[in-house]
Amino acid sequence: MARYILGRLLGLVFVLLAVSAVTFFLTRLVPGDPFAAGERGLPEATQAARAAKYGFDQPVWRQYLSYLGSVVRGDFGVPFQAPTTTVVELIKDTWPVTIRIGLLTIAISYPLGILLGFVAAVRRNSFLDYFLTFGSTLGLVLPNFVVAIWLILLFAVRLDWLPTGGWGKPEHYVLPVLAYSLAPTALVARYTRTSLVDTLGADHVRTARAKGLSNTRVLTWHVGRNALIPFVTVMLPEIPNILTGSIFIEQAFRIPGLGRFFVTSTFTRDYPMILALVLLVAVVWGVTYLLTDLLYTLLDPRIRL
Amino acid sequence: MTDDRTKAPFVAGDARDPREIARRISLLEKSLGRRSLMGAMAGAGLVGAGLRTAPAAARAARQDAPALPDDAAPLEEQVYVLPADTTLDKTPDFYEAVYERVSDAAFDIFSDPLVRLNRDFEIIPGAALEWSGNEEGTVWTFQIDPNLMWNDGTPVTANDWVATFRYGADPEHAWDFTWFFQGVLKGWDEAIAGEIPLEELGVRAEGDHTLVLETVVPAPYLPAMLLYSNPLSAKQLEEVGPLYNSNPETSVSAGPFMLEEWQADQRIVYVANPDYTGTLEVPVQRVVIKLAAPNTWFTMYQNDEIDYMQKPAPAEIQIAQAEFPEQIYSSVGDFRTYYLFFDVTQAPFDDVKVRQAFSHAVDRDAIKTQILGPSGVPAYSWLAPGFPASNSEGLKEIQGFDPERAKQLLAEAGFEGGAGFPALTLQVRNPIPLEQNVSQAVAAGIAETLGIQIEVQNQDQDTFMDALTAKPTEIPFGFVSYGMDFLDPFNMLSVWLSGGRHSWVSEEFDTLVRDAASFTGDPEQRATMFQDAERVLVEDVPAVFIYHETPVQLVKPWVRGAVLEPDANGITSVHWPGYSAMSTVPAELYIGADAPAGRGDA
Repeated sequence: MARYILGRLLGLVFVLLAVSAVTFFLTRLVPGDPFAAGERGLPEATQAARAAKYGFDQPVWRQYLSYLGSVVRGDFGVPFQAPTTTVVELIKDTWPVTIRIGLLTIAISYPLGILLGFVAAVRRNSFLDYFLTFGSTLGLVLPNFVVAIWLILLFAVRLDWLPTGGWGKPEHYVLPVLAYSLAPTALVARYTRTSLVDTLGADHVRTARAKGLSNTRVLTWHVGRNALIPFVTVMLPEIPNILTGSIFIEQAFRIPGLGRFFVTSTFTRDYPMILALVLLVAVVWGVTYLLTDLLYTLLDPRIRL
Repeated sequence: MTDDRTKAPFVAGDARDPREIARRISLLEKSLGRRSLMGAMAGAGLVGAGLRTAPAAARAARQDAPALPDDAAPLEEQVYVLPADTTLDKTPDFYEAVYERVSDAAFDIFSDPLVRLNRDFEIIPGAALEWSGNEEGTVWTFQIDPNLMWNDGTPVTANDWVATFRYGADPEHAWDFTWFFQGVLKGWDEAIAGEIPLEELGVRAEGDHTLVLETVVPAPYLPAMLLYSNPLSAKQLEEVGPLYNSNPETSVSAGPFMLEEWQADQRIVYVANPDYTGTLEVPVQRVVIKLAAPNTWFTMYQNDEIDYMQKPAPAEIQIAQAEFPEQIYSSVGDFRTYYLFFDVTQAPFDDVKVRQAFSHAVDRDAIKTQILGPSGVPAYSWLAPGFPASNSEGLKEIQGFDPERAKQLLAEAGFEGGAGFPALTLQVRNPIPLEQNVSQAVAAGIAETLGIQIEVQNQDQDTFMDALTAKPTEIPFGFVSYGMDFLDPFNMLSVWLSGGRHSWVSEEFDTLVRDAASFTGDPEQRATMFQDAERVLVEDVPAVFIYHETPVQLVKPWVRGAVLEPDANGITSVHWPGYSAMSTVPAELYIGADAPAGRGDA
């Protein structure tokens, strides 16, 4: 097992190397300049001075090598968008905000989704099941920024119960977590229902019931555990998405998180930030998939790594 | 050093005496039959090479609390809350980054610029008590207010400006506004290219309180340009570095406010600077800037979380018109003109008839009624009404809406009914909803009238500007805007000089503009020279002018003061450039007692 994990982590290093190279060269291929051209364009002398200041006058491969050299020393550079800080500091400041929203979202949406899915599966084809299925479909198809705007209009502008956005007080969590939870709750509920319905009809469940086990024991032990496998496959990889934030949610509610930088870094051609974010996402995904695979062995003894 | 510089204070009747200029331009305005006097007022300020003197009042350090009107909130509740775009929070300082500074809200407020604008767009003394130019208009001397102090106890001296201008020209800084002083300040072009040491820049201190600027051409517009002259502290530049103002610990102020809090992505807080000794008497004690994406401002405004916002989207204006019409103000903004442009070096737009056909195919009146509403007025020329030397009425017919003539001109160019005309892509620069709607309508109108195909494509700001200003340009057909940097026709018209923003080249235009710019004689004649140049521009149609922006502002009823009373031209709004030491706005705005509490909280 240890060897397997080590192998996977080593593989991840190569993935990161490849990802960084591809990203680095792609950012340089995109037209546009990391710095505002302003209304008139920069004089040639200033363009040249800029290029020299940031090393853009060097061949791209050399820029990449010097970038790698810095990264190895833990220096990811200075974000062009926030020159008073460093990329590492900026991520340190903003990611915890996003993670807090994300963890709350997971803590609410996953149990809630499982519960709703469970209810729907047990009462399948009832009115309650149809209602929940409809609700979860709606939750999946409604983009969270639309939900965010509705929530703001209703709870902030019309009812005046909550601020339209901001950060720093407990009430600032309510609407974003609500908006953010909708889709994962719906997704979890749907997968839980489907996989429970499948498992409920399985042979070993019939056997368990035939043995005279109580309904509760059958549902939790024989059904629940098996139903978790498809759930783990689908829902664990959702976690990196949730933990890296969404520009829509963060912008709509003015949350100073990491999410917006995925978009603004690209628009402003903030090369150091783009690279750091891509690498960050690659690491989070790599680790999540590794954890998912490890979890399989716990849930199903037949799976060996 | 030049010794032949002549300091010539002006006498009454002198063409460079501001009052004389004002008188002459207002005569000109009357003779041209235009209703707006704003241009005259502006002209008075900017052509004024003459001696200007600050009012003797307000010289003492502002130890005492300012007197507030009866309906004002108490001093501790004088909190003004504004939104600013999250992507523009890199610095508060002009000389650090013009296009990435906090420019939506309250800005350039940690020191007084040499001159500032009042509500009637006149250039009035700021940190400079008076200034004068030599006979040729090439050597400019500013007397700096000796009372000004940085709040770290250092006096403000001419050397702070010298250090600031040198920083602006420093190739290692590679400032985003270096074009501004190109061809104006002596040594600037060479300094930004690293060809001469910064010490040779034509900006020098003579003693502590005399600043001398030399120009390469006669530059009667220099005082107007120096609206952009909030100095950085030479001491902090040296000791901390240029970003010292993004951190309350290193920030110093000689302006009406000082930095209390700078939280990237969240909020910026300024508080009144108790050690301020400048001329602005500012009632507001605390400015809270909430950093937020512009599309969230309107709900914040509706929810009383901000006191002011500008440029609401068309749908938001409709809500405002229905629910709180009295809070809507149309400003003149920065006299911005939106226009279609062509790469005139490439077919089919190298044919003036094609360009003329396009210019006659846009129904600006329909765009005004159906889309712009209070956000703009139809444009048929470059200089917006009210801008110095504007000739809107005189040029109106040249690009007027005339579909029949448009079709005929296109046929004469060999594309009868649009047959054989290449399919076009109209590139649009990072449009806000209003610009999006207008560009779509313009494209649809031309396509329908002329029978050609136009697809509208949006580009992000950087991609668009890089492609536009590339030589040769990479945008054959586009939609963009320009707003003034300072109140002189030279500034707006210089956009169209050969080798500038666009590929259009006209020697006639260049000569007219450059001659007028450097003309230190009769301002009436100077204005006429600019008008001749603008006529060349409009007639040769390198651009089809669509609308002059009159950006909408939403202002809460508890925001009060002279700032919302009509100016000399009857225009009511928070005037450009806004809540900044470049303007008298901060002195003319206070918060009423009816303002809800807690707006400035996190």
